[in-house]
Amino acid sequence: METHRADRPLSLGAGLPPGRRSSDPGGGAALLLAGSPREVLARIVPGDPLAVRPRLEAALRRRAVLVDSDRAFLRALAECAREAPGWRGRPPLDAWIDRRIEGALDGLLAEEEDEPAGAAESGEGSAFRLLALPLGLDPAHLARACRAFNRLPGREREAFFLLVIEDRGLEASGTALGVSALECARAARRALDVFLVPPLLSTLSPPEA
Amino acid sequence: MFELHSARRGDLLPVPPPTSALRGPRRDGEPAREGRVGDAGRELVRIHRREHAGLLLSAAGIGLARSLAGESLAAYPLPPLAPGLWRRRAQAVLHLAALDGLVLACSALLRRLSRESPLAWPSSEILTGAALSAGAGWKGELCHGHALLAARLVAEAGDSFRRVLDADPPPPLCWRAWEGLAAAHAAAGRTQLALGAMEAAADQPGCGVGPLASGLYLALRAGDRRRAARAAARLDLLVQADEPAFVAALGRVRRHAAGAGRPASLIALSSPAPEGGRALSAAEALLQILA
Repeated sequence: METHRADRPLSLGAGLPPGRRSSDPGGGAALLLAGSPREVLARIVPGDPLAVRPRLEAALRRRAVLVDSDRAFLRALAECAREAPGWRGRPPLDAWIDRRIEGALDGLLAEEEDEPAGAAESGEGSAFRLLALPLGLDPAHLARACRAFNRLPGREREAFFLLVIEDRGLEASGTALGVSALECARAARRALDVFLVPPLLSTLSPPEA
Repeated sequence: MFELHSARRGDLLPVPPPTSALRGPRRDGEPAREGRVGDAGRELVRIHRREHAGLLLSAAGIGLARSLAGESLAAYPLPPLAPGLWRRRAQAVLHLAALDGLVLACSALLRRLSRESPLAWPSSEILTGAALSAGAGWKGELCHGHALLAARLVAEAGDSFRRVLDADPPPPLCWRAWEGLAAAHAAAGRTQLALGAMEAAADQPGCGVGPLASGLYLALRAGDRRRAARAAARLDLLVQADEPAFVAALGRVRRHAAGAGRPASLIALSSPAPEGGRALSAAEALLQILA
């Protein structure tokens, strides 16, 4: 019996056992074609047999947004389960999963614009809490700053990702964006500004003398 | 992408390793299967809940379109939906929820609406109230405010818009809340407060020309030359007189003016404003409409 180790880095295609490839109608497709959404969910959550997570991560990088990736992962699986009863094999599974992931991200980002940061974002176990507390930050403020980041123009978010998160260097980042290094730096700085707002900064401990 | 969810609690980094920002599942072992499935199940319920709420808000918009002139509907923060399309969507959502045996508090209401003609539906403020109970967010509160306003429940509408403002929502909702509050003040005859609220709406990023045109109209009605000149100058910086958005905003003003009659105070602005030049051309466009 095939197993899928939880710590195995996922990539589509060659990285997965043949029976687990999402494009394999005998594997992933069969998980979706019968039962209620909850029953489908119970099949597609453990071990991520549809390889949703790596696709999701690619989508998040493509969009250059900062969200709790674990929650986005669960939301994408929920979207897959919810839409599974209506899927009849068209579009092909890969494209269908990509659409579900885009739908999940659209939904999460729309919720960001429509609801206060709640327990899902700053509660126990949330990514914002895990990241914020060791840094002396308020999880709710961090969540709000990430929301503000996600509202920025795509060019500024992309510059931030290239320069700050991926540490690609100014010249390479500018080239990747198709702008001068100076323009890239300015765009990244504008994105950085959303994290330098007083409520977030005030939670930082003063530097020791 | 930026993996906010760290692999281990003791290994939290603001920035993931530059070689690969993409990671697979948690390396410290996934929580028990039941827990992960349960978390995903909560997301599933959340999707259902928001869809139910969204459909109720859209149904309220259909009700408003039936009962009101276009001016009130234009401020409704959801795009209009044809009743037939709404019904098909509602039936699909109810079907998917039923597959899981999921029954929300508003499911019965949604089912009733999907079977009845919109003429038999409850009033829009009832529907928006139900949507709020189902979990609609700030946009739902804005819809509720407009539905209350349409029902002439002005004080309740003002409260609704204030609740949104108190929550400090993102700019796109903020200017809509200020605009709604201005409409509530105007409906209560508090013109100066309405002017102030409309100016606050116009100060929000991304508000477009709507609040400026409405503010200009309110200022003209009140005979407030200073505010009218300021709104007109800002309008002229933003738009050409024949731009579709501006024409649409003027159309709303025209419909509003048709109901209100031409205020005598407009006459005072027929002469050139102290600023002269192009500053009042938007006001002049309004005057032509209102003449």
